[in-house]
Amino acid sequence: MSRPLVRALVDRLVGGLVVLCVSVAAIPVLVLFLFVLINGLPGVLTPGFFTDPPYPQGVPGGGVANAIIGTLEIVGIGSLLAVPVGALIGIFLSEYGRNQVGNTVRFISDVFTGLPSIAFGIFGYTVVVLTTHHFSALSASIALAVLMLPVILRATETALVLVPNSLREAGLALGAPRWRVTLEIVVPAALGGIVTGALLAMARAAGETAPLLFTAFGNDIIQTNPLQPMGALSLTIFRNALVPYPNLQQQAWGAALLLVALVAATNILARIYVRRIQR
Amino acid sequence: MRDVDAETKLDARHVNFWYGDFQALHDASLAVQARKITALIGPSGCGKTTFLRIFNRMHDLVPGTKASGEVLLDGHNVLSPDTDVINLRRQVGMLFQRANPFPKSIYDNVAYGPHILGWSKQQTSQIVEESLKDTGLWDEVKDRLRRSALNLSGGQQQRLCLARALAVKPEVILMDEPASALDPIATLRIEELMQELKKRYTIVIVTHNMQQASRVSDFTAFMLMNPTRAGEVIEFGPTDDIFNRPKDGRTEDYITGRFG
Repeated sequence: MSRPLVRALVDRLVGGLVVLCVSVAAIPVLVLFLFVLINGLPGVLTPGFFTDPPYPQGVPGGGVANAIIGTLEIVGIGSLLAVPVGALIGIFLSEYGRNQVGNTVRFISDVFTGLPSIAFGIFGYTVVVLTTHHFSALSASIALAVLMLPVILRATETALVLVPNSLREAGLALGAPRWRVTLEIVVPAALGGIVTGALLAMARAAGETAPLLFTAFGNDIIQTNPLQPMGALSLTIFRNALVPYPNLQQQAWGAALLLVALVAATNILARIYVRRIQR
Repeated sequence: MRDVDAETKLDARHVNFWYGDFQALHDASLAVQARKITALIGPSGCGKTTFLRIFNRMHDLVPGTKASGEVLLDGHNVLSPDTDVINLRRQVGMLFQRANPFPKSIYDNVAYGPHILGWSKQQTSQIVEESLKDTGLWDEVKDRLRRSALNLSGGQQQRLCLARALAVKPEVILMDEPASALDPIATLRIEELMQELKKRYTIVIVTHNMQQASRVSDFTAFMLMNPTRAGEVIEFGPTDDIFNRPKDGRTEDYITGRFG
């Protein structure tokens, strides 16, 4: 065979392989989306889905208002705890962390990223629930905050490292102290990346079930006090999927659809925000 | 043909400089005259930029560097540990090789220095206007001061960076190949500005471009790497002498394009 022909063949072959791999990766995701959509829509469209708490088992109807409020509140408080701390650690790593201390923090953070999420639940349980003798939304927020921390700090560090050094030099050459250059020039220049990291961490936390099992515990009445046990969408899915009542199973599918929509919306929002800021 | 009222603004004496174990400058001396333009020329890697950045202690930012010798600014050694680096950098401003405006508005770029110094709003806006006028940018940008500086052309960005440096009222301006990324027209604009600015400021410029050095500068220092790759000042004097009557054979070789 002539060489050009071989080349063309190899080109086709590799191209085909790439398409195959992409499909193998993409098809399950699409199927999952479709599945959740088809099974979840009837649940979401049930009257009272967004506004009512769940009814007792066997009683038809009811909604997931308790879980919607719970997820928003638990993740909200968790983010309030994790974002400032994570962003500050990220700033430290990028601007002052080219040393042993920085490397140690990076290593610990990487270890945390690899931990199974139930370990964060155990952490929340031992540190907060056992000491307060009470399941609470706050203990779940703390568990999720620790889970979000490594994602936020790494995203922040990466965003800051990408800021060209010439900007730092320009600020310092004007006689600005290092900390002001960091806060007034470097951080604003990297804000897009920092916000994206925070939103992605929030999206991940919203989908977690294991850390909530023995912290927030779940609650079928609408509860807004963070010191009380609280429902969450992921807990609704987990619990309702295991009961034999079709209306509750339908509710679980609905909650799954809502959660997927929430996470997708957060991701899309993050992307739009970054695109706007980069112009 | 020394000026009668010659006044030494910056006086580098026997400066040695190391990046870790590597010596980048060897016994470099240079007396920069006030309100004159002094050019540093020489082939790549001869330590011009390193030398320049020592004048306002920008080398502090690179870990593992060490400088010895003296750099006297109005008689005070800027290399001594008790120098207030922040104050030094206010007196000795810098213009970089590539325009590096902050990703902020045109106004905020120039106002950043005054903002750091805590000057009043009124004072700041006055300084911003003056600095932009001094760099010939005012008429081009006065209607869009609140727009992003990143939308300006390369030449405008570099003049904005100059305005930003002028806004803190420095005495010396260090320029590190300020026109190397600009087209000939924008380059000419910067060179004209330098002639305007030297009435009030002392300027030290590093340039690869010998024509530029001979066009704009009053004094020229020619630098070269010695056999151990450390930069040395080979010859320093009035630009006219360096380009037309060089004393050192190596200067002559470089000027006439025999190497480098």
